[in-house]
Amino acid sequence: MRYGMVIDLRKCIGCHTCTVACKAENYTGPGIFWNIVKDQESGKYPLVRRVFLPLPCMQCEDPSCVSVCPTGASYRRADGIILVDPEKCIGCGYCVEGCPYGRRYLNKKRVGYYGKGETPNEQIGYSQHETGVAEKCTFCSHLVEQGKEPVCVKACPVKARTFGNLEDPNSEVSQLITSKKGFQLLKELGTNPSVFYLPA
Amino acid sequence: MDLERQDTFGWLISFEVFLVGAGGGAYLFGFIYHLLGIYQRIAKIGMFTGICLVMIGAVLLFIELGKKRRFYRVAFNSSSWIARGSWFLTIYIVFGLVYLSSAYAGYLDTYSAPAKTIGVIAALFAICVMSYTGFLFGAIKRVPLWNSSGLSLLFFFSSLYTGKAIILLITAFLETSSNDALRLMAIIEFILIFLQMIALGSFLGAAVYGGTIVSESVHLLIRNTLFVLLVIVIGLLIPLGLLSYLILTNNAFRLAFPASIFLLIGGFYLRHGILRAGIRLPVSAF
Repeated sequence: MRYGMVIDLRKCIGCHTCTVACKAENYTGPGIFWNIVKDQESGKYPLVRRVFLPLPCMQCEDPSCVSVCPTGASYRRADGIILVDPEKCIGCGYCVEGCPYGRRYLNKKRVGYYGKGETPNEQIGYSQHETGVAEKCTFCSHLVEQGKEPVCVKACPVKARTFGNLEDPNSEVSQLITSKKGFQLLKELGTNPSVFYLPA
Repeated sequence: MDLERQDTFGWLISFEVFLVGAGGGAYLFGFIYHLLGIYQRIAKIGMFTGICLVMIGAVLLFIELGKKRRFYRVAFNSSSWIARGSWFLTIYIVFGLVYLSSAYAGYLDTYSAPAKTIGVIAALFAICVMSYTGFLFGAIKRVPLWNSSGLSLLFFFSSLYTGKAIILLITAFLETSSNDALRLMAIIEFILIFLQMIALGSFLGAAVYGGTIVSESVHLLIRNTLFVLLVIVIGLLIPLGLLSYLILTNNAFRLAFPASIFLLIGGFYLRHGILRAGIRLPVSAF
């Protein structure tokens, strides 16, 4: 079993629903985005077009963040999901720079979105996060364990994201990668990401 | 293409990396002199200063941690250069302190086989301490400027000449130092500066042809007035001139003091500049 995701760049409209849904589901604080959508341009004037590039954690098969972590707090599960054990992390920040995709954050301190103090909702949500440690997208492992899809997949209004088992050749993700020439970002680094993109 | 600089490693880490490198270098030279039986006072103070600087560096590393109470976990994953570095620092400090205390307190003959073994182990780990920071940053694929073997070589040479600069500074401070001692120190420092210039030139030269991101990092460095002034002019060229004058005239030994201070300033800013110029790989779908 190796969980993976396929993101169709032709379908993505850059609405950031995935980013907001991720924040609502995982209660990440200000400045911390487990999922982002980059607004990029391709081509040269006058033949220019915008492409939106959603970036969750790539859940690499050979993850740099795991090999650079001095404590072993970053680890790869048998299902391919990379997690951080907040009880083991010392918050050195090495993995934050070590991830080639920039998909890790150091949760330095607990702050609310609305000035001083936290709303009751934030108090409940932020208590799930330990401060002073690194954190990242978990592919919503708490939902996946219940047989559900990550929230970004479910929330996408144009169904640009597909989630499934990359090791099953009959799964929808494997079929999409094969039939629509799915590609990985920064493939040359040899990390073998589990997130594939379909060309725009 | 949107390029962004790394902002994870700041002043404190640059200073820590500098202290650890220079401290390792100072111990190494102090130990060599001590083993050769020459300049004993300089050697002992050099070793002592080297260990103190590395200990301060380790404390700075500790201060940077988000979870300080779990610091002992830093050594758990041997594939990480931070973990390896923590082992190098610990072994170096422990063995260095044992050797140094025996040299000062005299409870062990420092020229006996057991003491020499302890001193050699500390010296070997001093070399590891001097080198590991280059490998630590070199393991970061996200920043192409650092992700090369040239960086570890550059940091190693930088540790050598800054470590020697500390010895030179101690020699200049000690009133009992002979002119011959200062001259010898100045000659060695001169050679090390020259080697560092070659290492820096090679590193930057190779980087210019290393792709768009790396060459942009090099341009950032070259356009950084502080880097050119502090590292190249004040940190290398002026000390080179001062030491040349000192060696050739066999006089003007007071120049050793400003020369070593300049070298240390340059050595620090070299590391800081290179860390600051780290441009991240852009993540793009094209």
